[in-house]
Amino acid sequence: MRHSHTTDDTGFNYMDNSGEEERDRDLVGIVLAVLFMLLATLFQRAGLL
Amino acid sequence: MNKLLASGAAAALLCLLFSGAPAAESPHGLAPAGDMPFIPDLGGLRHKAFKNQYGQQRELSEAVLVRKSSVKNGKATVPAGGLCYISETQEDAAPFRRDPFLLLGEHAYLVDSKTSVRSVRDVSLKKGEKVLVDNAGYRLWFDYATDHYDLPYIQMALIAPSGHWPMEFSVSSKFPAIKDLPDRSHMEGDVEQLDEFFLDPVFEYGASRFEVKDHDFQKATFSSLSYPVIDEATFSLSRPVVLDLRQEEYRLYGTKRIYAFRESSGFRVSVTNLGGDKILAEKLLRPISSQGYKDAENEKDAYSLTVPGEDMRVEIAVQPEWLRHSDFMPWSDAVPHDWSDGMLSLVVYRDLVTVKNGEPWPLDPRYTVGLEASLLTGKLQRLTLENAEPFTLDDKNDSYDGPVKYSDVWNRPAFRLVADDIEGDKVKSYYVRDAFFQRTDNLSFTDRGRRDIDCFIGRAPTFVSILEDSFLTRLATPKFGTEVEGSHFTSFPSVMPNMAFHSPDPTAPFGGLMRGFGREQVTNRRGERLTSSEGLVIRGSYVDWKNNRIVIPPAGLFYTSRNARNVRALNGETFYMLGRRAYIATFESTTFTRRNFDIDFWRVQPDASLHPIYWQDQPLGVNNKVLRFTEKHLLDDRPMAQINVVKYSGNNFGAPFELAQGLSREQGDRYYLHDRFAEGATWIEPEFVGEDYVRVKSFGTPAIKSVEYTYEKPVRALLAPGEEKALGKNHTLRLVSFDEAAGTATVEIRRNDGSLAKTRTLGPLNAKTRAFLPQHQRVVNSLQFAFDEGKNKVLAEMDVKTPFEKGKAAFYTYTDLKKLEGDTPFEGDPRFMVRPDVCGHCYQLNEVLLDNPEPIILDREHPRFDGPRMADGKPQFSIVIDSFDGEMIHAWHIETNYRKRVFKSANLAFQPRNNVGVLMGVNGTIEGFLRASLMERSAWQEYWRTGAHPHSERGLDAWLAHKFQ
Amino acid sequence: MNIPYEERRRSFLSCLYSTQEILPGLLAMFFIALFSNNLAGSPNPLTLENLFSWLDAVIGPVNHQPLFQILNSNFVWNPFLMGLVIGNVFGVPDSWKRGLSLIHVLMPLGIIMLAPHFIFSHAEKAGMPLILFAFAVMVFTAVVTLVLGRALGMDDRHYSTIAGALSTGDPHVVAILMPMLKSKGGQVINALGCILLFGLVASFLLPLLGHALDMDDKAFAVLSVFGIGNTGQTFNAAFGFSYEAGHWAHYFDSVRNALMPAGFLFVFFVMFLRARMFPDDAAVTATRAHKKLPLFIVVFIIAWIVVQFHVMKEPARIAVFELVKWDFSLAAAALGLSLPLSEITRCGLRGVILTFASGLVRIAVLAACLLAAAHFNFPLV
Repeated sequence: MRHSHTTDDTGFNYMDNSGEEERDRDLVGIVLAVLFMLLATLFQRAGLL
Repeated sequence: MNKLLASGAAAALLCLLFSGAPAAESPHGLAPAGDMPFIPDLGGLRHKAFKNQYGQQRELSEAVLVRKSSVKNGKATVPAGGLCYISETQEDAAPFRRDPFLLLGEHAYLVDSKTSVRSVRDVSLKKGEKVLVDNAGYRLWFDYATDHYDLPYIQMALIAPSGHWPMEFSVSSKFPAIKDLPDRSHMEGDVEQLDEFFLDPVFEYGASRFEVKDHDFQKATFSSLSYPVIDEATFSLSRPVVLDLRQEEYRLYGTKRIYAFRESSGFRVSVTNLGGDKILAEKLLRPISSQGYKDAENEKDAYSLTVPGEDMRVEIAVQPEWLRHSDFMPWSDAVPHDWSDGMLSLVVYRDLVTVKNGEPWPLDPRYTVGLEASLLTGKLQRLTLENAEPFTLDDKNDSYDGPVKYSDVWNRPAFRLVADDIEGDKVKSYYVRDAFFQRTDNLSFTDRGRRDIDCFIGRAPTFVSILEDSFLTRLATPKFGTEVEGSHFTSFPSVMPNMAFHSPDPTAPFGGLMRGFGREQVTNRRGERLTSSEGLVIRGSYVDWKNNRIVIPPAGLFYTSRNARNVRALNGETFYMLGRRAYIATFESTTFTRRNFDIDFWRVQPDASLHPIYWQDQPLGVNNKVLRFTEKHLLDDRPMAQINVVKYSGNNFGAPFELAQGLSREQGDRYYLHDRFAEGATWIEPEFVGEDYVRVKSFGTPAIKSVEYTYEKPVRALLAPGEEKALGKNHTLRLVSFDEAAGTATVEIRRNDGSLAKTRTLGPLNAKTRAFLPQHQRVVNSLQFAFDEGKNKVLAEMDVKTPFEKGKAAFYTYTDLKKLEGDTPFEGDPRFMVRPDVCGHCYQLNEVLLDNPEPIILDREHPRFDGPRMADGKPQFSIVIDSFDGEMIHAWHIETNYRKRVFKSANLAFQPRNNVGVLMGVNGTIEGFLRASLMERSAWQEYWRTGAHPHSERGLDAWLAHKFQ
Repeated sequence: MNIPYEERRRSFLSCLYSTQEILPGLLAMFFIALFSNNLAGSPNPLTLENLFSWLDAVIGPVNHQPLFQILNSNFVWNPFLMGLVIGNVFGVPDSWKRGLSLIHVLMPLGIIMLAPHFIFSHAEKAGMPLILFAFAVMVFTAVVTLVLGRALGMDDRHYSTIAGALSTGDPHVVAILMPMLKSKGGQVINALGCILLFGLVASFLLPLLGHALDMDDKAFAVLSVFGIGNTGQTFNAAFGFSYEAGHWAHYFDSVRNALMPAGFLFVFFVMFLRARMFPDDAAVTATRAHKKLPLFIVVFIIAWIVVQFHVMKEPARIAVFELVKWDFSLAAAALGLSLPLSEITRCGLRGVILTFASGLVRIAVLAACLLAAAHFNFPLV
């Protein structure tokens, strides 16, 4: 069944998340999260926050 | 503790009941119920800073106040004037400055006002009374009386109808006046006690003047009170239209032409119809610039043109270059008092509303307008709208509309008072709803209900003065537990090298009364009852998160003991010394004097901490006091300075010095202030009062060096010549002879083995020396015989009340004397330094402080710090850190030892804190800190009640914050 | 034509697609977030949060608490609601969908950044007995819910989501568990609704129970914090009982907060192990899609352990939490857009039954333990 809210005319369903695509998305999230937290910590230690 | 609190509350209640007059009396100038609810935030009542044409900040706020209401038989009654809307500026508003003012939530500008001075003659009143002095509702309040040399001086305040008063003033007709102050500019350094105490019979305060004719301790008569009043004020409800002026030419303003023709002393401004053939109004206008005198009644007419029948008022402003295309607020950068570069502009104010003092509000005759002037500057400070007729709320009619407000959209009631659940003599539910339909929480905070519907909603500064009688009980009565305000955590804790002369930050929790910190009523030999109490203050502490520890800086922890007034020798007066009653024996004071020095104006330099930097303080000796120039005004362009003496504890000396030079009522000035100041033994004589600094020619104030006290009650001894009495373990006191007529007695102290140790003649105690009692130490010393042989210091003094009785002479004997000497380690616990503080008027002991000379470090390994040890060796109090993670303090408390039991305070970090600041116990020092932070503390108390976080700009407030400015 | 991801992948950044592809969807999320919450750095006053706040003031507080807080209006709920309304009224344009897929980046990102929010030392003040007790009750609730859910024959993703959220007491946990358990949007929102409904009902009834049992303020605060959990509803219950209980509820809430990760990780690991133990059981769907332990969970756990040592101090912690708000606001907008209303209701009433049943069991156990502790003078609170 085509989910009208999530699937576009090419069949891309944005709520689907699996396989290599999922791992890549997780990885991007992880990298960003670690980056943000590191930056916040460093900024604070450097007296910028 | 609860008993004490209950008795305090009852006393406050009694005062409230009996201080005023009969029930039908006007509520003007009177306080609401001491336990009334306070709601700091309701969106429709605004609280915001705006800037005027000169970039000067004006803190504006609005409030709704209900007072003197009552609930009976299912009905809530509010007397006429009992429901009051207040719009207030912390500074003042005057014409020609485009001063902002709030009118029922609308941002308006004051464009014109009519001021005058009201003089009232022959007002008499008794101590404690607040008497009405005029029909408008001004009241004179006789707060209390105290003495120098047994002569009274009285502490008064003139209360505006709203309940606001700027400061208490002391006057007396019994002392040399300020003008009698001799030239003391030769004095420098410590000099001995001076004889004169000064106090002026006239309190001069800018536009106000209060002159006392006669008084004693219980009643007073004022020969005249004059104070400024505002008869009429005109506001503009819209931004003015600003047009560049072009001479000999016209500018179009709607369907009018505005011509400006140049003349030698200004512009002849002419407003005509569109065709230019009909002159509607014409006048020679002078451009407005920043000189203050231009708003005087006899001057201001030259600066504005009002067009009859039209909603239009024209002024010519000299706009700074950068203001040219902005008809509104300038940037927030500093604007000098005057500027050099300017453009001439026609400024047209519209949407004008004129209100008259004592007359109905134009949109709603149910409300009467009140206009209150600043007592100092005589300019508008407050607008009140009060219900003209009494009203009742009951089942059928449960709400009363506030005054109708002007609005761009829909003129509607600015607020509504609702009481929707009244049962018998109790109201169970009442609230206020604003013009945006937002309501407060139920103002009857508990199910028990209330017997009145008094309340204060909003943040108008009047809140602070109106609660003077009850604020201490309010803050000290933990109705909802000990309120702890959570800290704001930053990367930069305020690292304080030393906290002397700094007050604790306003977020420090206030623990109120606690067993172990004494507070009691004591009676001296003269039968005077005085409250004696002690407390603990921790100030300037911080979490050093880089080192996982808590630091209390030097002078950051102090024990304070203080009485309701100074502690006097020869009267058997007592004070608390670490939980025990101590009897003062004698004292040693000097006069600290300085000459030819400068005090810079103190500007708050924000450094992201709650502790301001006081670079500009001028020290008065070492660890004694400092002088701080805290406030300044221009009174018709003459600078006026307010200088405070700040005590070691961080509190201000009661009477600030208000100084201005070159003013004289005789030469027609609107204002007058003394050009020097003297109160009691403290004086200041400026060489020059500037806008930014004051050069002081001569200054002097008492300083106390040491006091001697004992824990043993002094014993009265009645001796005939030749009789003797034991004086401690090792000595006896023997009367050799006395002369009743001369008032002298010769006594000797002998050792137990019979050998003579010392002989002295005490006195004379006659009318001449009595005139210097009880304050003058030379006379005090002449009546006291102190003796010290290294073991047990003793002292005998003449009984000054009844020195001779039935052919005998009377003495009081003191044994086992201990000394408190300033700036030396405390004898009982050398970890603490003694800092005795003097009464600023009179050379006597005002307060004993014990503080830490070294920083105190608390961490996981050392979570406990014991305070000064009492006579039994146990610490009077201890600081105990229960949960600290190196960053936040989650739990800590204070423990006291009292009658062999340990008492614990509530958790003083109930919400996480980044310091261990605290106020514990209730005495004058702590009261001073509380009064200074009353508004914030009351607001936090309210957030604490409901568990809300401090109000952020949310909801409609966020929207309003963006909409305006 | 949809080209399979594996074919267009060049590096792990390929999951971000091209700017042109994601821009419309990203902007849609961005604007929904911007008009939903007062987010750090955004000066926009016209937000749903402000609208609710105004309505709160108009309606007046309930037990001194804002009504919409009791109804759980917060930084996840507001954008979700707005997305749901927009999606269901106007539909979701195809051009948005690539951008909206960023929700799968935002979820692990937000979950990891939540780690500094859960600091054990903030709870220490409550004392070890209470912390252990709270932990035991949390695990007990999770187990009871999982067992009951299975007995009710529900989808395991659905009931495990409810178990996680109910045991930790925080409705946000449904969003955190979503990528962990691989639950469906409808299940997540149904679980959220169940938790909120239970909390709402319980928060008004609990004070009656407290008075009936004559509980003291502190014990009642513990009961409301661990018996309801959801902050606004907890305070509604506690302040409904007394001011003092309300203040203590604020105090003990930090314990629940600090233990929260343990709760949802417990549920996750139970379901994860179960899926490994029954690889062929078609009814076991939760976490099934994970071939091995997802990396972001490992990173979350590491971050959670590291922050316990106060590596990240307070202002940084607050700054990171502001980022979390941004992150979840964007993600919740995408989630709201993805859900037709029918999908939420499809999960039926069994979720409600499950939530109420285990919630009531928990309250009963808690109340019994608290009364017993009071009776035997055990220093629990």
